[in-house]
Amino acid sequence: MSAVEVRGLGVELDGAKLLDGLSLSIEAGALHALVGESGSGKTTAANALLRLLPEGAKVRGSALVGTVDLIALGAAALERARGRTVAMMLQEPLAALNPVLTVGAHLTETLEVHRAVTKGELRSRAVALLEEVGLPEPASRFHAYPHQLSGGQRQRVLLAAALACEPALLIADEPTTALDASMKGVVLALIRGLAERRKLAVLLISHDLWAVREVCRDVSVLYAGRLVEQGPVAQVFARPRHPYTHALLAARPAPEHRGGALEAIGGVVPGPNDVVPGCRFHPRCPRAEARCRIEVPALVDGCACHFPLGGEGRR
Amino acid sequence: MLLGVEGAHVHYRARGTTVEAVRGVSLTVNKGERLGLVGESGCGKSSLARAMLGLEPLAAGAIHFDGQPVHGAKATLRRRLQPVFQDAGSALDPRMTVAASLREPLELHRVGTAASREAHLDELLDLVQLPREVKGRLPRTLSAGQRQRVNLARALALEPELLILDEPVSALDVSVQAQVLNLLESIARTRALTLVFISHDLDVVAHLCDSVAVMYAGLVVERGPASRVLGSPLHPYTRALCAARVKALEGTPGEPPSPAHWPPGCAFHPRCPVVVERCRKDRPALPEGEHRAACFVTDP
Repeated sequence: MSAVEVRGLGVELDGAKLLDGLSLSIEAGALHALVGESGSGKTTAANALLRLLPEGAKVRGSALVGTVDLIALGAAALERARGRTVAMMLQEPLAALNPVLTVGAHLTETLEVHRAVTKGELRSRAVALLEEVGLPEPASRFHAYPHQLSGGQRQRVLLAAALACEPALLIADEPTTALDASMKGVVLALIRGLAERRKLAVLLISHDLWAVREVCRDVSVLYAGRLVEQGPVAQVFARPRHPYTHALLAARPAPEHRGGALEAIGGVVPGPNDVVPGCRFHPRCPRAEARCRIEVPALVDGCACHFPLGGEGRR
Repeated sequence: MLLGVEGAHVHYRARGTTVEAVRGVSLTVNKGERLGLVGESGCGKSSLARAMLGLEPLAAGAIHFDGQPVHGAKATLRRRLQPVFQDAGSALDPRMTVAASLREPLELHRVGTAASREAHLDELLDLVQLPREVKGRLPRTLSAGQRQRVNLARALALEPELLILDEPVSALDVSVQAQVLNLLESIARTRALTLVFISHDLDVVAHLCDSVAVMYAGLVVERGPASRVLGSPLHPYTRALCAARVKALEGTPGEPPSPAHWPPGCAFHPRCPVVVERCRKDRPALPEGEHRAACFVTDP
């Protein structure tokens, strides 16, 4: 069994299905990319795993991290699990860090609340964490305030805070979106190195399939709350089978499709309250046929499509 | 030459200190050229764009559009160059309908009669491929892609010759970004527009632009045809950016410098893999030529 097993995760809020039956597994030490555009349900999935959904949200399914089912936990057990079983690294480091607390205080607070170490060890543990995430001069930066750090350094502090209680699962929500081009690769390589060394399972959330291709072992592509394609990153890239995955890759301006118009996908992603019968991608799909408008395609061999690319034999 | 920037400096005063956002940029943009202005946050590209529009005063230097200075220019000149900003949501007045937003520049510049303006609105919506029923809608009821189309239509309302676009597709999803880029490309082609296109995304720039200026720490460090700057970059910084484009795990050691403390000499020297002693003291100039870089080490 994998370190993380999510089965049939669904979220419904005020009658709208934000996420519909997401299943995925992550091995210890590996990164799994959860990719989708706005409205795909990727952040809803992260919030469901952390149990941060608004009151009234109906959650179905299970999410096993080791033997702990995050979805079934009661309030007290949930408090213990957050940080220790599952931790989150947020997207916007300036907003996620408290401007009046030093770097050190962010880490020692986390360690103290979760009683991860004794009081005497707090400081040395925090400095060790900062060193592990590659913050230069960790002992002196311990006393620095967030505004005195650069964007990349703040991102490292957030990563250190997320790792403080040695979680089994790290959820990183768009960890490189706010970073400059020359920094993105550095942070991705850092996360992958930590995952390997700590045997950490990482769920990497991104709107950009291309950006995460080199660090993740597997990828799940979401569209309008549903999983449309899943598999090893290399395979999904080389031979995307769902028309949406294919379109996402083709729509990106890239050296290999230089010249002429980009292959844009017409229309927009439907909202959670928009009723789209059958496959939710069918109104925008060039391959759609009558069946796609009626019948919801099941995920077969990692692809939820009645007429997958390269799968003409299944017609 | 349609746009000429000569030794432009843009300074901001903050807490008693002066931040030099743009530190002496010279470049020319010819009629019909599509210039991609690339660089990371804090490199001064947005400040330079605002200065090109006459929105930011110059501490030194000058910027001319069609031979006339853009600073203090009359409305007849200003309408010939128009901006498109990144966040279409905040660029549009949330209380104004799409029709009112599009009508405003026409009214301000007294273009046509009331009746001809209404016909003009329909043409603008057709141009950006928006259905006419969006006229009565407020920005918040539109999708991000639709809002950026409205923004583009508003910029095009006065039939400008030059569009200055600051990260116009960065906030859009990939599938919507492709729609807007295709639209922009076709409008630029049919109207023979000159573009200054600011972006941190080299793939988008390579797709749309025919020339590129790379900015680092308030200066242009490389300039030339897009195929050459992005295909065979000269400056170590451009090389690093281009490498990161192909290999996601390639990064540049260190971080972009802060505008409050530019490193002395060549500002890239603390991160540069081919740094020599001279780079720490002297600032390399951008030489003349078709494809050139401001670097002591790289010999074009």
